[in-house]
Amino acid sequence: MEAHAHAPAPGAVRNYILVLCILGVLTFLECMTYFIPWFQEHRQVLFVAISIMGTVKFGLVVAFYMHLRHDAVFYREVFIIPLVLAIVITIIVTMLTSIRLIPYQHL
Amino acid sequence: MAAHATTGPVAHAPAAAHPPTSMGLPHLKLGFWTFLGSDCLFFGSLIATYMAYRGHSLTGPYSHSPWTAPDGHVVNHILNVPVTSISAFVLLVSSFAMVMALNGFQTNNRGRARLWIFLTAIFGLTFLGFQSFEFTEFYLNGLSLSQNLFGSTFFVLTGFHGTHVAFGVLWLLTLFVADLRKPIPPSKAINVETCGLYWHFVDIVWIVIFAFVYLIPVTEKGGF
Amino acid sequence: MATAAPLPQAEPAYSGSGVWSWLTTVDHKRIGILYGVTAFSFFLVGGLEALAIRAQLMRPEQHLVTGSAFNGLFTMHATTMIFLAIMPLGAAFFNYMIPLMIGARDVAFPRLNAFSYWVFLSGALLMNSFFVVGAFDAAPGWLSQIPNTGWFGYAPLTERQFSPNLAVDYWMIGLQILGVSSLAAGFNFIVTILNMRAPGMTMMRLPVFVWMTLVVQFLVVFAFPMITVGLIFLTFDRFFGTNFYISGNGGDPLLWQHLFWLFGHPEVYILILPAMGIVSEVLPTFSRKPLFGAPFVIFSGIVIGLLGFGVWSHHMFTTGLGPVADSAFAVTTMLIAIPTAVKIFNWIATLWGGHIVLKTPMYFALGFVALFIIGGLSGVMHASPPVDLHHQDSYFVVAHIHYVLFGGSIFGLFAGIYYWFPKMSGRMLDDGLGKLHFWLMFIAMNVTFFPMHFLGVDGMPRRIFTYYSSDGWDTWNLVASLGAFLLGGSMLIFLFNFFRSVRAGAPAGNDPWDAATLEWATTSPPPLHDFDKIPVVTSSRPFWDAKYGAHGAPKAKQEAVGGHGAAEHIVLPNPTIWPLVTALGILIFWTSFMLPGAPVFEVTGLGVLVLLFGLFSWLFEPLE
Repeated sequence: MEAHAHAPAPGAVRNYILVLCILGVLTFLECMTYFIPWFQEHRQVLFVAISIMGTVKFGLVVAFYMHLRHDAVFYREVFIIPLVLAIVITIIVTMLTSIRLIPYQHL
Repeated sequence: MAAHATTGPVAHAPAAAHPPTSMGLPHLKLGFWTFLGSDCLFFGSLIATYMAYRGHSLTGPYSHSPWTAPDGHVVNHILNVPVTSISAFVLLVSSFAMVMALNGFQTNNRGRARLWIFLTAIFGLTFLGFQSFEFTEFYLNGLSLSQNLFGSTFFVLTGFHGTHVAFGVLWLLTLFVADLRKPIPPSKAINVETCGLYWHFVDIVWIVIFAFVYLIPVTEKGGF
Repeated sequence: MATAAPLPQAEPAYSGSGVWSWLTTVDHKRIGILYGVTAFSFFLVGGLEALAIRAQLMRPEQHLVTGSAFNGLFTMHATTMIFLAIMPLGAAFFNYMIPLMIGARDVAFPRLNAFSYWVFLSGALLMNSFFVVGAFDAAPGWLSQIPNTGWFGYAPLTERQFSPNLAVDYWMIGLQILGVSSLAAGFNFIVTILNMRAPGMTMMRLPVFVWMTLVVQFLVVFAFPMITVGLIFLTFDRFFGTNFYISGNGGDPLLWQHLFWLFGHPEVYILILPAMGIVSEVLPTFSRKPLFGAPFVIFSGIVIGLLGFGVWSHHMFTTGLGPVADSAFAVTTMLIAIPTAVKIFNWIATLWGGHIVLKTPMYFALGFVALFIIGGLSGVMHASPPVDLHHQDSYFVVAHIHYVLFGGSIFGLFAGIYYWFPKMSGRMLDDGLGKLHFWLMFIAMNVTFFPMHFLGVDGMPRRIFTYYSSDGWDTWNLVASLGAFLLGGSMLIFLFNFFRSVRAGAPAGNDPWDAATLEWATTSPPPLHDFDKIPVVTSSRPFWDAKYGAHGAPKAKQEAVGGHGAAEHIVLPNPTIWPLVTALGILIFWTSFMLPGAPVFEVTGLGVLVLLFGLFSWLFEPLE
């Protein structure tokens, strides 16, 4: 049907490379937490750190590689609403499915 | 304008025959973003199950702790974070390649378009290679689908992600071959863009999986 | 303004009526008819399954069917009615009417639309093929492989350990395939409704039926992934030995219930909202008044859709979730009653002060309102967890279900059938027979299902194949069964009316009901291209305004609905066989599990090849 030829913005390629560099740095940092004993001992902090880094990576790819930042608002809505729904359902189901019959016996 | 014959396909439509869309957005992108929203719930359910079952395996091998097999040999925590970090980065680079390819198609730059879409597929295949290697290693160390909850949830979650990647590679290569036979003009770049949306989505799902399966270890105090 | 001479237009490649033209059709009207005929056939099949159930339960300690076969009957009755009757009957109307009501010529993705239908048919046939395979089984009886674990398929009964034969697999895989069909249609209709409206048709000028359809499609695309995952886990448990629902290895059977009801509750709104949409069209037409508070009705539909995702565990009040979870879900469940009530009050207000025209569609719409109120009341009762502890798994729930699904969805769908039959066929259904059908069905429905409230509170459990006279349930079971047979009889009246009218009913003309929405502005049945000119819309009742003007003065009846602009060169999508071939590939792929002793890899591989061949042919063929 409609074939939108979005002429890419000037400087787009430079932005893509910049995003890739940030993604690389974040991935490296994430991997490093594995090797740093302090993080392994303070797992709540690790959880928060990993969640933040993951969210930033997720957001960068969605905003700049999927162009959601510059594209129609409707795409944002039709993607973010189910995303939030999925997160909420994940949390609730995890909380509700908590049979602790023989938990963590191996640890 | 004469009526056309009743046999044979109808002539290709001039642009005026297609009324403009109500939201000013192309059908394909509108539908595809909706599909991605739906796919969020698909992967969300898989991830929710993985999270619900964390730490509940009755026997090993375990994700982040060692296990002594019945025959006596010790299997260390089976997930390999450094290696998987590399494969995660490979997938991120493939997203970069994808967006470069789209740029090439949109600017009618044949060289850039073909090179980068081919590279995207190559990076995707590399990722799948890592996955196959990893799955084989795990299997040889005693982790199968039926061994324990970790095996079930891990293989199904990452397996379905890998299947998504494989379909993506097929789509990329199809576009590549199609472009070789007849160059895809900027007016049709939306087809590449849609493939890009799919590919990036598969990448961001892996970002989440990598974070919650590999990086956040199972603790003994309960919770995550 | 005199009607313009017929505009030159493209002719379709195949406009014939042979089998091939039906197999290759991408026309939304034909696809709607395909859905409608298939769905109604399965409705009758589900009805026969129900009659078998009621025959068995008519008297105590009967043995017309074995307990195992009875389990199969109630499983297939529910599965058939929900997935193979009500949903596709809704799809029939979505397909036929949505493009007409929004002033479009087809849906956004016509070939995907055809694909949805063929996949639906594949899933329906695969799910019911247990009849065929059972007949060849070593164990005697064509019901030996009937899926028998309930339409909700609770684990661990569905696990291989407790259901070793293929019965559950038919159900599980059939349902998975049906999910693909619904999802594809969901994406299609969302894009169609949002993106293909006629000029001037803003979202708030959309007919309420179109709005309800939009909400339903969002429910489909957000709820079906959950059952897809649940079924994947069950498939892996049954075929590959995983442990998702097996408590012996650490799994939790309750996970299935969560995943199923996360889908299942939005599913019941998927079942009722189309009927509510139809009723929102019929009541205004036959009250000669606009729908009262249309924005509120629309908004309530949206709220019902949203809240529908927050209530799923009210199906699990008896599983020991704990008081916090129970209370939370009780609150959300009771909250959903509010937007539902808003709709009901608006419908009643529509009738108030209107000039009521008592034709058959109106009867069914009024019946819907009355019966749905009763079903809603019983529903709100077991929204309370302590009350639900008594209602759960009793006939009280059966009563509730049937008041909302039969009194609600089916009555609403029949209202749609009587309302839109003239548009689809060009002929009128006999109104006298229609009213007879209505009264018989209405009375029979209440005779069948109202006593089930009593049976429920008297302690009769669901899903039992017989009972003792000493239980004290004899009378009401007999009454219910007699009512069920009367219900079956009422269908015969409808079928007689239908077949006679299709051939020899009175000609309908374009607008037999003097209605307000765009589908009535074109011929009955519409031409292949739907509208000669895409209308320009200036209100929520475009055809009414075209006929009577803003101040109600009648104008020439068949005036073009405000079409301006140059004559249009109409181009229609080509018929194509590839969606059917792609669907066939999916069917072959899954059949590999079904045939005992079949070479699994070869059949699966063949399925993949056919699927890819069909898919690539489809993608590389120009649409038009």
